[in-house]
Amino acid sequence: MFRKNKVLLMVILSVLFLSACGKDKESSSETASKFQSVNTFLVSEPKTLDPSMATDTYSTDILINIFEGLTRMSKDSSGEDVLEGAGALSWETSEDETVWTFKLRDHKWTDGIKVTAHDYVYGIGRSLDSATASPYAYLLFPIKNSREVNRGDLPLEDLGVRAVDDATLEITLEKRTPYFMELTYSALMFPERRDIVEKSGDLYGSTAEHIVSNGPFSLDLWEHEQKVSLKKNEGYWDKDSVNIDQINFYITRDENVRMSMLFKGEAQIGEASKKEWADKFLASGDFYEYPGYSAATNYLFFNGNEGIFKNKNIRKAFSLGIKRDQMADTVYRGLFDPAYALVSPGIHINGRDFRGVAGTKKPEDKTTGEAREYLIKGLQELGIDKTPEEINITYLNPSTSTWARTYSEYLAAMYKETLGVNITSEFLSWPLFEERVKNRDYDMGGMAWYADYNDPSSFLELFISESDVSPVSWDNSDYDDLLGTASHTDDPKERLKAFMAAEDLLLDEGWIAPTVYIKRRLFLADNIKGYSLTPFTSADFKNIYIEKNN
Amino acid sequence: MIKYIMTKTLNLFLTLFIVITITFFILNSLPGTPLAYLGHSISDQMKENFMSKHSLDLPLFTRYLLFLKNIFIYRDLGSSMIYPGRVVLDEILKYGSVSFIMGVKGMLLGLFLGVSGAILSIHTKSPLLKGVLEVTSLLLVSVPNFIIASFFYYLFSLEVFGINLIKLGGNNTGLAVLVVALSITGVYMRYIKEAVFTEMKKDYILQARAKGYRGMKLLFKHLLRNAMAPVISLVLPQIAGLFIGFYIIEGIFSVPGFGNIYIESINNKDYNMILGATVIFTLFYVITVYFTDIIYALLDPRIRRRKTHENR
Repeated sequence: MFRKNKVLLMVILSVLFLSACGKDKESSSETASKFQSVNTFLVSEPKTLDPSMATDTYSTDILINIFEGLTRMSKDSSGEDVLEGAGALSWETSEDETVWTFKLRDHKWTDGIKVTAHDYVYGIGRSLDSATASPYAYLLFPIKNSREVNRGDLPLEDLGVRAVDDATLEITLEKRTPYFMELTYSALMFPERRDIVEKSGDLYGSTAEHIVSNGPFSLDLWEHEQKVSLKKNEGYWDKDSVNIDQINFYITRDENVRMSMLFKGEAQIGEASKKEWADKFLASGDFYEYPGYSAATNYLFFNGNEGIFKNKNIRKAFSLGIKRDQMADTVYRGLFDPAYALVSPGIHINGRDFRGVAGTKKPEDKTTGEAREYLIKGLQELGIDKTPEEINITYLNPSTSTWARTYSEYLAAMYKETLGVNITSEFLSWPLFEERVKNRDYDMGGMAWYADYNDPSSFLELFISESDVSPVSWDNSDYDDLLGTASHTDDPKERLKAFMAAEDLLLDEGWIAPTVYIKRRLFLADNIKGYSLTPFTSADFKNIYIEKNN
Repeated sequence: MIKYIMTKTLNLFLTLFIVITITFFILNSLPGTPLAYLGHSISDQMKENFMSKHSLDLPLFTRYLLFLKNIFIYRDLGSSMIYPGRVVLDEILKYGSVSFIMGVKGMLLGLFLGVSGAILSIHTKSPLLKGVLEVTSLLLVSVPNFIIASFFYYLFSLEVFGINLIKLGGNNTGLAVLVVALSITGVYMRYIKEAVFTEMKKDYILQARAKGYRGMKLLFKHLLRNAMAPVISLVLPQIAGLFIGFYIIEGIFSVPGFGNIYIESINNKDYNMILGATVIFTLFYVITVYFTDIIYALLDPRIRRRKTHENR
């Protein structure tokens, strides 16, 4: 008898606990027919919604939809990326292209106050202020005196940004910068409200109460670690182009949860990082894939200070010995593309895709063993009396994760096959890796480079002699000259040629060997259209709409 | 007795002080800065500005003194270095309480299920039921809690009996509690069963049975009190750690607990958050152990008597 009561109690309690879950927080009014909402994910909590400090993609995903900068990246009718005026109605530049003048659109902040040129001056200044300590302030270094301001050597007033009047913004550059307009849609150049920042102090950007914005959507709700909800901004100057009433970003850390929610239709947009899920989405017929390069390239790099990599033929051997197609298919699960050059597809110059113009740089069909021949030749040139099988190299892996180990195993097997050499790996956390690389205490390493803005220089300038973030000790004056030409010339054709020549030189000298171009595999429910994603602007929901079902 | 309490209290503060000092110095000896999460190198000027903003460029001992001053005088644990503007103490209380409540509910349910299971297993005449409970407790002890979590997620994300129990944005705390409970039920079940069997053989039980106590009455008035004693000393200190959370379970069921915050702060070298969590955890832990001693003394008169004898 007691037994039965106990069991009954157990069952009742269990049911009570279970019923405590599954209670929807969302109100039923959201499913009313006219109200259009879209659900998607953030993998992790946005660190801050302060435009000057936002560094992670989840923050910028939100920012780009609630703020309006001078310009916005959009898609034209043929799906090509196009820069259009947003907060700026029009712009012109001086004869020598060092002074840019923007005529601003008459529009308001969500609290009804007009957006003025002073807001842009304040926002840009704040991003460069040394007190703000924005990790990405360097992106704005083309602006006059920005380096000095950021170092604290000059006051903020000396920055080359000023409000000519309430509706006119003037930016002066250090020198002619061909990609300057690509910076104008970055969060660092968003307008900001001085009064809100000063009132909020440290809390600025940390909760919905401490943010005022001016974009297509407004921040309706921000439950930390749970959900960010954006609502259509009825005061937006272009509100008629905005078709969606609400976007819900659910912060969901577990990948399987995201994928299953997307598959079930609870969410409409999501990113797959496993081929199995990507295939499942495609096979179901309810989704389409949104193609996207991340404007990032993975590459291997070699230490020239000591060891065998001093020899050019050996470096060439190690690049030829990479089985890029197989690597992309197996270790990267078919998600990334093989890379034979540094500048990723998706980077534009003169309105065209740089990679498309410069070519893939894929070598001609080679006979097997060619890589090994170069290695043998190189060893002979160095006077090293060893066979490839006697060569031992340590690969520095910038991660200690399980995947990193898989990668290293693959690398070792691959080089054993193509070159015969023995590769062992050392796994380090990022800070340790960074230190070792800086001290040139490595044989060979691997890392990814993400372009900061849409121009080939964002990739190529990494390797100029004065760069303090280059992982290799390569000082080549020809390379510096070519990039100098690219930076100074006002002939776009000459600029393109200079970049192409610089990249060829970089690849030929072989201190780095690109492996794959990083891509995102984004899946959208079939009826979601108008989505815009470029590598540099995160997910733009402004023009999204839900197609009516048949 | 007053002397006893005073010594205990002094111990409490001393332990706290030593732990946070050691943590502070170990943390600062590790390579890396709070900028490590960027995952790529940024130029030195940016790093300098950042370090200066968070006073990380001051000498180590100065920072240590500032840190102590903030804790003991201002009771201020600072703000997160990774999430600008978020006050450490508030974050710990907010997410920690979610984890804590979830943990307490889970523990209570687990304890309840464990005790029930143990009693059932002791009293049942059916070998089948005995066997089932034995296997269940063994499974629950052996299977890690994140596997149980994934399994339950899978189970409930499918549409069971036409009910879609897990929804995007829904409140899945109940399921998370159930998973927590199940992950500890096994341990309790086996522990209590063992303890009851051991107690059964003792003399005072023989006397109780001679007096006429049987079954449930025997269990509740005599057996459980003594069988539970070691379980209590096992359970109570665990309560202190509950606010740290269950990283994976919270992740799978999207419960906004402290587990993720804590792990993330360690990976991102968010010094303030790590130190803040350590301070709070140590405080809780030491206080809980303190109270465990007292409760233990209440449960077991022998300790009370012994202590009184010692004080003489």
